[in-house]
Amino acid sequence: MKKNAITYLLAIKLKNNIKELFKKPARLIYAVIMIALIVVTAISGKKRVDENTVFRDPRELTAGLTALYIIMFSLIAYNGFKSGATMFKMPDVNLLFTSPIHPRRVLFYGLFQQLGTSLLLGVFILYQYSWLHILYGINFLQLIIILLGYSLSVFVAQLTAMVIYSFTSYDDKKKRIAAVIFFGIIIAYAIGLVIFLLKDMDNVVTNLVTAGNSILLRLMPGGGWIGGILNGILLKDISAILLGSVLTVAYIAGMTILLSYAKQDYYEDVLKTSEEQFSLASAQKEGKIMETTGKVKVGKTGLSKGEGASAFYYKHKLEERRARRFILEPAGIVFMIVSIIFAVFMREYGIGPIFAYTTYMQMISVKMGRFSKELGKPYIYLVPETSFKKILYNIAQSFAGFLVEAAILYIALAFILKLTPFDVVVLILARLSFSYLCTACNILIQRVFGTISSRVLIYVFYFLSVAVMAAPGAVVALLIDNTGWILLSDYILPFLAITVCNVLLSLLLIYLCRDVLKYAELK
Amino acid sequence: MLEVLNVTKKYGKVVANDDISFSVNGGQIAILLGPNGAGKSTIIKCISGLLRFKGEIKLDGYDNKSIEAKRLLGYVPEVPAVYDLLTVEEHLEFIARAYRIKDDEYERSLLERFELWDKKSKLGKELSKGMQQKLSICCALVHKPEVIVFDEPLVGLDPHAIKVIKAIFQELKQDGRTILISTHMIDSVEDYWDVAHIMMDGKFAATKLNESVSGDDKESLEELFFRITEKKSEEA
Repeated sequence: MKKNAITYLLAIKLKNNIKELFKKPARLIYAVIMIALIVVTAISGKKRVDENTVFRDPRELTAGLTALYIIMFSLIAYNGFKSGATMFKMPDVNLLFTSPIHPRRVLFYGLFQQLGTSLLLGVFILYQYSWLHILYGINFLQLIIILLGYSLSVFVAQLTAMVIYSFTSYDDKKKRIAAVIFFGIIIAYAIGLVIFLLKDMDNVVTNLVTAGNSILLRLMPGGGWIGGILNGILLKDISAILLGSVLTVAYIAGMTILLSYAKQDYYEDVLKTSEEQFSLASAQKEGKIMETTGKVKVGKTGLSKGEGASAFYYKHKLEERRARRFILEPAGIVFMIVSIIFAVFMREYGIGPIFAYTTYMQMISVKMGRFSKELGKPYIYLVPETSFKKILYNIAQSFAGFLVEAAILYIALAFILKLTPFDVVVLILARLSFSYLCTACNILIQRVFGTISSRVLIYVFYFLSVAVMAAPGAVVALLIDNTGWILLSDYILPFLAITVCNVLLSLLLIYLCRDVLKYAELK
Repeated sequence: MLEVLNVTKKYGKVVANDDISFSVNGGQIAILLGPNGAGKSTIIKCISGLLRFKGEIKLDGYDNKSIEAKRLLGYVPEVPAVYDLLTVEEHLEFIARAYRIKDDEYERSLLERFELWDKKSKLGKELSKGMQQKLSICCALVHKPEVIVFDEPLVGLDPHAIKVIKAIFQELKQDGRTILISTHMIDSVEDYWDVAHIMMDGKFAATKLNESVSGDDKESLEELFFRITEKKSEEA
């Protein structure tokens, strides 16, 4: 018997994806490496736990994860006020939307497809097994549940964004009402939390854990409900599981009904977003990076300054001003929250492991900013200036973002780790130096792999090069630490040593790769 | 003057340009014709210093990757090179600053000729594909380069813009500039070229001088093009 079109499409896409894995060895190797890394993390964590290990309070973990789910939910659902979200690709729009298949069935196909994507988004959680196992005795099944909770939060948030967009995009009054409700809930919770914390400033962390596990937070739509389910599973509280599950299932059903029954003609709403997503994906395939900003406020026009290579710097300043919605990008905020959560749990072990972990997160999150975008346009190669000058002016603009990110992170960590102002300054400098070390390694990759597009090879080489480049600073810091020399506090001299080594090595590497634009190829 | 000497460009095992040599003098318009995948854009990108290659490319005697050569070159890419977050006017300001030149009158005249002056405050991302292409052409011309290479410049342009760009080709030629145009639209180039190179499989399959220069009118460019390309595809 012939399958119906939707089932056929889903099955054939899955089959072709698996076949593709074997046709492209690089993808297969990538998948194997990713799985191997998860296994290595799992094994290394297991070895360090035995029957005498005393675990930390699991309520700390449930509070942190609930916070993460809520933040992810809020950030993604907020898209509904801008460009909406889409569960459809361009072939879906062109072929399914025009076919005689009922829009409701097409919608369910989109929802099903989205579930898979949401699951993939949370894979980074699997790499957290080691420390979660050592500190909280989390087993692999529980880790999978944490991952599912994360994916469910992303999924529910995307559904919410789609509903918000569908019902408000054509009516400013409705949009204002929805925004008041959306931000009203967030602000009410934020005020409540601040008031609660202000009552007892000596025990901020303990109070954060209490707040994170409170019934009030578990009643917060989306992320709070799913955090409640996780809370119930990890702390064996059936009522919490039931409450969270009922609310989440009812919410998903309600949102789906709203989309499919209240407004059958949702095609127009997702068309624009699907087209934008398609352009982004096509640009990515070609190695280009597109601006994703929605409406742009032009403001003051003109570069006002800059000649020769420095014209790039002033152009970037202008572009950043127009592109910026938040000081930090959403991905950067997530990495920062994860780092802060890690610091809360690891505060007794001192700054060493926390700095190492935040640097590891930084390696993944450091972007070359507008330099990457420039490499996709011809002008950086055409402008008659030396390659070295053009590189320096092209990476200069990232400084402000790096500084703000480092300052927010270490000022937040200062409260958790009770750091002195001197410590904070030196840690910010050390993090900044790592930002440029990562940038220098990215330039090295452009120099070495300018024409190669294998992401696996590039990622492996990137991580290896950062590790090699960071080693001298780490060794010098350890040596200084062992001498027992102290300046103002224990941290100043070792982290200053790291900073100096990183800065010198970064400059040397950028200088050695100064001809990168001669050898790079426009993608 | 532009000289391309024994240029070979490979993408992995695929040979996109195979030992190509040619030159274009000042005041001359050369065109590269060929079907999709013949290697036209690749040689244009090699000349513009955007790709690595074997061989030599010289602009007025300077190596094409030198700063002196870059100063002489203007490049119109196949896909419009427009910044999403810069206004039309800021694009020209940026190029002028980067090339350390200043000629507000010329910037304005370029925008006016391409009917972009009234859109000078629009962002790059707000422009249609055709308008982006016009802006890209303005960016390539604003620093008054001696050698200008155009990669499929007419694609996406409206009839008025095509008329303007054809007039600009003639003006640049009269001004003694060196012009190289890659295109697959034969009928659009019939009237203004001096020398045409027909490319197939990364090589020059034929080179033809314009009949008004050589007096050879036995076979039109279009006839020659189809004779070569269709014969090749039949053989394949």
